[in-house]
Amino acid sequence: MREEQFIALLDELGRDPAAWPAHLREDARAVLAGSAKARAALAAMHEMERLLALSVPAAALDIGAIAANAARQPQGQRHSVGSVLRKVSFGALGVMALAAGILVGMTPPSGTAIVGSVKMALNAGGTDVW
Amino acid sequence: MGDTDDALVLQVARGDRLAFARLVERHGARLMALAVRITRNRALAEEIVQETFTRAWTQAPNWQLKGEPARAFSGWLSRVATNLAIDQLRKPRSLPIEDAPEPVDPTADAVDVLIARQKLSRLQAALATLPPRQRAAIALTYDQGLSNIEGAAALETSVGAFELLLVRARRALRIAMTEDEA
Repeated sequence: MREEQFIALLDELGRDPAAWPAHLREDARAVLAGSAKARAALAAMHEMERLLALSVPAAALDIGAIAANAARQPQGQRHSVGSVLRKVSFGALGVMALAAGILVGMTPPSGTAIVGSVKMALNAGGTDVW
Repeated sequence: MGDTDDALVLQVARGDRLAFARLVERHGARLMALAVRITRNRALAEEIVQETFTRAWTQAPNWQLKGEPARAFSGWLSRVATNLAIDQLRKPRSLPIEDAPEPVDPTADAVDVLIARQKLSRLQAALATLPPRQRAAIALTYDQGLSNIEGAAALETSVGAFELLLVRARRALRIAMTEDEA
């Protein structure tokens, strides 16, 4: 591992080489032992995280006012499970009716189809099927 | 489960204002910290926190309908606040930039305090130069303690994209700290 690779991994995997994947740890230790630049990068990462922790923005917040302001708004319309099911049912019924209409339009009357099939069988076999 | 987010959200969905105030109390400060870190402006951050909780109140009755588990409430708040903050920064307007309070170590001597302030100032300057989404990735990871999966959800992006934002942000901040040493 070169020191540039170590530094790239530092940005990618974080400031604790001991927590990096096992196959990288030994190489990371070796780079750290031999490279002042790698050690400086690690120190900078530690410092960055320490300062970030120190500088978490803190601000007084008027909890009561925020809650009261928000609660002045009307809550969204509540949908009962029943009303949702009714909407689903009406929608489903509509689709089913449409599908049934198409099916009926495309299918020949069943009686005709049966009679035709019997006639074909009679013609083909020439025997009394009854 | 009486005092969990799950229970409170269910009560809020039924219009319970006290339960709502408990949720605001529980999550308000961290949302404020998140919004301030991203926008670097407290007044704007307050607006964002207010809008986030207003949406929480108005949309609470729909939570169960959408099939969203109430335990995701915290993540939902982070997602709304993060996106509101980033959206606000896209709007053209001049905002006064406010630095975070300086760390004060009562045991440190004057030179140490001066050095610490310089380093913090360097970090704040570097944070200010980050694109808003990278700053959000830093805030979600370091300030809010979210995992990459949770951070990605808050930023409404993939885990891979979130990790890339984080790598770039870390690199920029680390380099700023390294320059400080030079």
